[in-house]
Amino acid sequence: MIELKHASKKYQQGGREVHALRDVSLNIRKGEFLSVMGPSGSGKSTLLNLIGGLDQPTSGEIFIDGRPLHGISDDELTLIRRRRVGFIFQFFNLLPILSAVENVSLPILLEGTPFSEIRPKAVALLEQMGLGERVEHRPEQLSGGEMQRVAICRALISNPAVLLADEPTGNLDSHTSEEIFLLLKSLNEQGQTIVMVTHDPKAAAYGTRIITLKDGALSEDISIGGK
Amino acid sequence: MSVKYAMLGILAEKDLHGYELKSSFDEKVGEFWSLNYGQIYSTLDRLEKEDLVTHDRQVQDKRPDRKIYSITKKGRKELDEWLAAPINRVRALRDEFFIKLVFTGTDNPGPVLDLIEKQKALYLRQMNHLTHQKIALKKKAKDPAALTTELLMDAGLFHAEADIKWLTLCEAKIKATLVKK
Amino acid sequence: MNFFNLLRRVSLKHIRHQKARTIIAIFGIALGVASMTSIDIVNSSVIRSLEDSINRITGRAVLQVTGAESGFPESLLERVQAVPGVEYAVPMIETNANLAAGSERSFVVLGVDVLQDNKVRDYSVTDESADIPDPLLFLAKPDSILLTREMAKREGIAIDQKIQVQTVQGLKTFTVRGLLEPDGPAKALGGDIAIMDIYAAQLAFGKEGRIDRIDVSTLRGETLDTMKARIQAVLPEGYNIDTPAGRTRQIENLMARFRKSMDLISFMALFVGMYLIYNTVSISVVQRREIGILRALGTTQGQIIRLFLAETVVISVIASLLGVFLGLALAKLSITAVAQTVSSMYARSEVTELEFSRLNLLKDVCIGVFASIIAAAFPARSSTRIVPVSAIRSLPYSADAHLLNRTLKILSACFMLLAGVVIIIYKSVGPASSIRNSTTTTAAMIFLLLGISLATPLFLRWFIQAFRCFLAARLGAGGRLAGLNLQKNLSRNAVAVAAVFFSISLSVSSASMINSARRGLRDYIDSVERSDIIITSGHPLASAGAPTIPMPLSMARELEAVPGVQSADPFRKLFLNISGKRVLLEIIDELRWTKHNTCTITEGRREDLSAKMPGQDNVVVNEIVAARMGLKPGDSIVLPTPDGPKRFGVVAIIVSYASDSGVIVMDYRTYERHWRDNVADMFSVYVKPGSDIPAVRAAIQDRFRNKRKMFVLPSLEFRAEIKKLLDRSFVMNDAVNVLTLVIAGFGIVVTLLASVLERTREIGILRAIGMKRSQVSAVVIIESALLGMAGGLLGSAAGVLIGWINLEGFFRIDFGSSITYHIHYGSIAWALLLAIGLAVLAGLYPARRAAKTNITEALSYE
Repeated sequence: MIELKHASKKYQQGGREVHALRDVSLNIRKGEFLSVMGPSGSGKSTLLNLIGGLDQPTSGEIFIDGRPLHGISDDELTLIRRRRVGFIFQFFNLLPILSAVENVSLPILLEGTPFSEIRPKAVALLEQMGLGERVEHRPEQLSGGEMQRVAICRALISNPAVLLADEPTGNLDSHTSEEIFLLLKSLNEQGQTIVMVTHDPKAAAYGTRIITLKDGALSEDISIGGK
Repeated sequence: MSVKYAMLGILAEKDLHGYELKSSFDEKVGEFWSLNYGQIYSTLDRLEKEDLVTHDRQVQDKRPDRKIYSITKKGRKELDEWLAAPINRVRALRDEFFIKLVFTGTDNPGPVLDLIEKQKALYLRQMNHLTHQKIALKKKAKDPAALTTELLMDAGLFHAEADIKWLTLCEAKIKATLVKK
Repeated sequence: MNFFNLLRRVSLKHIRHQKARTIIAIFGIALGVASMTSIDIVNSSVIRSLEDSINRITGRAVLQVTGAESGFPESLLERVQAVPGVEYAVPMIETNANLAAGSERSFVVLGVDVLQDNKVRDYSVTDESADIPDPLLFLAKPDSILLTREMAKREGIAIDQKIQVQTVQGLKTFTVRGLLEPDGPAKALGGDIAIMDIYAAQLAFGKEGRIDRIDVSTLRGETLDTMKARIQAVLPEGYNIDTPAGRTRQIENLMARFRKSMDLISFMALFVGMYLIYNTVSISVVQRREIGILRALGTTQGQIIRLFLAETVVISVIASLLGVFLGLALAKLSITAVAQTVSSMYARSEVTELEFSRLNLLKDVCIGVFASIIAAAFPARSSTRIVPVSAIRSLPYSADAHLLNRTLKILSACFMLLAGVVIIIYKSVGPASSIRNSTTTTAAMIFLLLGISLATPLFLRWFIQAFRCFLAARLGAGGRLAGLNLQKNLSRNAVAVAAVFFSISLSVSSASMINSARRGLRDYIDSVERSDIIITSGHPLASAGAPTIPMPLSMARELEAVPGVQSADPFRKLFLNISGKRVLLEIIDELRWTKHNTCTITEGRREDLSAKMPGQDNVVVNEIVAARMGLKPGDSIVLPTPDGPKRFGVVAIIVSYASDSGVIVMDYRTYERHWRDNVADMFSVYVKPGSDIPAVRAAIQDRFRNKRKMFVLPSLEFRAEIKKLLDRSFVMNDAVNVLTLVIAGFGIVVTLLASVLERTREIGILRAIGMKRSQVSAVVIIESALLGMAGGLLGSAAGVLIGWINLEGFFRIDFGSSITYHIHYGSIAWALLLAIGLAVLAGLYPARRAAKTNITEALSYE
């Protein structure tokens, strides 16, 4: 479903060339919960950015559902981010000025759909995540776990092909983290494809498949699944 | 040492004969600790000598008599004292891998690094397995003992994580000395 | 950490990092200081040069006797000469003349008593003039004239050459008998001076039997005061005896109004500069996390305030120094133009050198620094509200509340109330009340501006709420986000709104004020000047004091002899000195004038004008004179005539904008009787019905072709010219408006840029979850447009009020109560459009910047 063919990414940092990703070929199947492990600087975030269309590879090809992510315009890439991909970040990255329900609705609001039409779906999602009481709260009024659950709702609102998570619990305590992982796991069991980047083995262990990156290249691919 | 208290703990709930005791033990902490029948009976003998447990004989048809073990007053007191006291000694570092590390020369780090890699993958696989077991457990069980099991599983995960982290550090430090040379 | 270390390590690094904002703030302050400095320099240079010219022309004379502009009888000379203690008393004619050929340059002709004058003034004649002109030669040949060497050189005139000069008698030929070295009076006025014998000058310039001035030198041992008193005693009322310095002071007083308007402009410029400083400092206060960090590390509140103020001092010293140099350059550039304006409005001046003192420049620098510190003090004080914890928390909500707090609301309400009080007072007192002065007007304006400025956050909040209710939904996600973003940082956005508000209010107010004045003046011009052709000798548009050479009254008959001319009505104007005020005396032929023209009468009956004025000792006065002297129809007014003070009856009070210091209108017959003057400055020619105006005009020009130089203009053209001139005189206001708008634009750019930079992460998030670049730009542009619109609306409302205050305060005194306030709706529409347009323009760069945000970098930050 997601396919990387010889994807490489180089960029300049302080006048020196950094090879963030070297010739990575990877096939992520539908319904997979892929954990990407590796020390910092191993290129795992770059991989996620490429899959999510936040960045484009220097060379190689990337496809989501057969559609290329390479060599397309910024606007096309933006639409893929908006419609095919859901992001979850370490720092939640909610807009502080918007309420929970507004944050969740944002990707569809960007389509130009009136808020009144999106709201019911957004509220339903929030309720599903146990945030029924928090619909009108602003991020600053929510706990870390709640913020992350709002972020998950935002990622899900457009029924994305893949949910991308970048250290989703890096800022949460163990118990809250576990709750978030169980949530992700249950989403995965309902068929949601998830790609999660983490350096925490405990987190990675939730995956149905764990790959490890080392210096921008694939080094381990453990695929046992727990079913 | 802890085997003794585990058995006292099991008997404190219910009187059991040796076989039942083993099953209960396996169910509760088997994930971390496996005992054979011999160990069970030798421990029971020792406990009886210390007056911590006693037994009744149960007569059976066609089969030899069975000993039903129960906890004594003294035994219950000792168990309570043990439960209330924190553990003074830090967990002993008696990992087999550590011994391997001691005996592998660091002059040629290639094999060590390979070993570390393999070991890490192994741990990760274990964690992956354990995590999925935990999820499965969480889904089906609502019985109170499940929480204890879950916590034990968590402990296992944390330990494995610590091992992985330690191995990663080993890797980094060995590599660093390599660079220096 | 030592304070200066802190300043050096933290603040100065900031200044470097926020180049754009710092530069804009420096620019603002520099501009304010520059305009202040240049106005100061230009003003003192002009006055200094006037003083110099007066001193040179006066020579050794310590006292001067002057009367009405039309001059006074020669007989007074003997009376003055007879006063004990007088050493010499010499007569002088001082008048303008034009060279008929060449550059048609105007110059000043001094008619002096050639036998006596060298006792008071030094003349040195160039060596080239072989025979030093004999005074007797001058007496014998009335066509003799002396020019300065400078002027002769410039015009290519040699000794003994004949030159044609425009005089009252028409073109006259003079012979240059000699050239004067640049010394004494010959050095005054840039050398544009000619010396003639007084009798010849009287004849040539229609001043027979009259002199303009008596220069008096006194015997040793006599004090000026006793001499002044003695001379005063022998002269009729209405004469002025003053020292040359006193005359300079008079001119200074005359120029005070001019100066006042210039000062207002520099004040505005400085105010805008203060706004920019305020803006810069508040943004740094809101934005800087390191205040929190410094506080957490143990920096005291006082140290933080001092840090900001010290930063401001550094910036403002640089800016003010820059401003002073800019001011010098500006003064150099504008001095000629200003000197010309002053020449045409008040007194002939020729400025060649800039006049300034270091002390004054230092003063300007200090004012710049001081103003900056005041502007910075407000936001710097609010920095103390930043708690150390905010170093750790990144959401800057708490810093915002202070601009909406109670104290500020009360303060804002107080200021507006004060402005309201002034407005109510203005409404309830008469137009000439002394309460209506520049001080109260300026105060009311400042109160209003301050009050509204302080209320901008509140207004912006309402405005955005309204926007969110009615419009945001239609603009999609961008609109909603823009509204929310603005709301999030009310205080900073309010500063941008205030900047727009400020400049828009200035432009709307001046547009409305000028519109009112312009309409009033245009209506006036149309009503008083209905003739077909205008005839003047000088340039028809030159106003009071400018070089016009009058024409003899008898020309009226000559004009009427031209076929097609129905009547030629004379018009004469001169200035009277009535208790220290320069009042314009307009002389018309009342019987003829009323046939063609009307005037607005505020008090009195129209029939009385033609019944009581011609030939009788009656006048009409305009509102300004009436208000100043408390006159009503039936009262009387004492006017200084060449024969001493005479009492005239007041027939009516009329509207006249002819002079800003008062107008008295008199009939020609009355004037001739008392002043024994028979010249006219202008003839209004009416063409017989059915006659062709261009043809009549050509016929007039033909008839006088070789006799005199004069301007024969169709009235329509004349009126159009006057209106054009009127518009041109408001150009300064337009320039200031443009300037403030540009500065407001800068304010918006700075604000938006800061907000874009601060929101880098948010923009990254939005881009990550699928916001297109164009959508990101749209959000910023919408924000910008909203700021512009809020500022524009507020500015328009304030502008209408300020315009009214200005008209009532400043202009009422100048023009009288008959000017009705006309709100200039066009300018409001334009201002709103401009505000929004400008804001959008200002938002373009920040929008581009926002759209270009690198998503991955934005997200990895923190």
